[in-house]
Amino acid sequence: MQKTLILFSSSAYETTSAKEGLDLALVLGTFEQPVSLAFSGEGVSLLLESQSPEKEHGKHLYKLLDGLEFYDIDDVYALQSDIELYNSKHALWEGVTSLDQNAWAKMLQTHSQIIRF
Amino acid sequence: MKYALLVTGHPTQSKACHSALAFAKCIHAHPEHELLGIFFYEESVAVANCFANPPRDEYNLLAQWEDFHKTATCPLYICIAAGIRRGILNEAESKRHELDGQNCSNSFQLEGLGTWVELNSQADKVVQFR
Amino acid sequence: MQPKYENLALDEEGYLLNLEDWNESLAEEIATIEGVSLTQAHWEIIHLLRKFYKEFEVSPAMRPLVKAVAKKLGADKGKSIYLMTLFPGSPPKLSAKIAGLPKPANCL
Repeated sequence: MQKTLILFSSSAYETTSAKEGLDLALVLGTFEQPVSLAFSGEGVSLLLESQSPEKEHGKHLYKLLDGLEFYDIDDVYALQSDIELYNSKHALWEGVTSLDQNAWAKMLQTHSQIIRF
Repeated sequence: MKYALLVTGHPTQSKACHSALAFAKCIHAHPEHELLGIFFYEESVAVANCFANPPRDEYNLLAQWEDFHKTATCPLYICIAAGIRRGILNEAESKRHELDGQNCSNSFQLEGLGTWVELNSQADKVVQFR
Repeated sequence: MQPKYENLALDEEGYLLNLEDWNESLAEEIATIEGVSLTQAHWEIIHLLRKFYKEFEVSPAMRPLVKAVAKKLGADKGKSIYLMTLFPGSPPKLSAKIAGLPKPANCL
């Protein structure tokens, strides 16, 4: 069965992109469509454990990560080199699998659609 | 081949809506291919705003989409949540939110993300314009 | 209890406007408007739903709701048929309404 990847490359709170990407992922999950999430570039900011968005930033997107299991979203990846580039000292959400370039490229190929936010 | 297009880029801040239209016309011109639908999400929903009027001697993107809609049979969907968030409303949504006026072009229909999920699952190829 | 509708600030679909306003007697009022009389079985779901929202900042649609109920209250209750009997029509919508939460997005 085909699997959709939602790829986050935008910073978590700079625009509504990350929020709307997550919304789409949840709907795919609700409709029992296989879906995984992947984070690269500034997108890895969404995975930072220590984030504390204010009301003006919108929803606390990190909180949603722990709820992904209820939407059957089990596969969450991040690009190792971008984690190091954008975040060297903070802890990341524990459910994420970090991938090197090779593994990242292979992971992308296992998806039939990639939608970027 | 069956295509579904997802447009996410803003009509004046990107060329997403322009490229999507060119691509859609191209599919339409090739009967061996089928365009199942075009779904507008994120900033792209502004394309359906019929209150937006570029100067008369400039390219009118909305008019071009409306022309395309007359010749092509594929539906043009505006994500209802993204549209309402940004003030793109048809008559029904305007009433539901107790607002005055409606600005969503009649060539577009407001639909939930579930509609995209359906397109996504039926298409052989999904192309995003951002 | 006689419902005091005029105290309720609801949106055009009957969802609570200010989520902070919610309390259990408000829930009773909303339930009365919706024709539901709340039992212990209802409250269990309502509190679970509020906890879900507090933890993840989202109102669950049917599938995640069923999964959350199954995980927290056991497999017997984690079934759509069980939730349907408590909150007829659309369990995620009706239960969110009574729990004073936003309408779940893209509910079937």
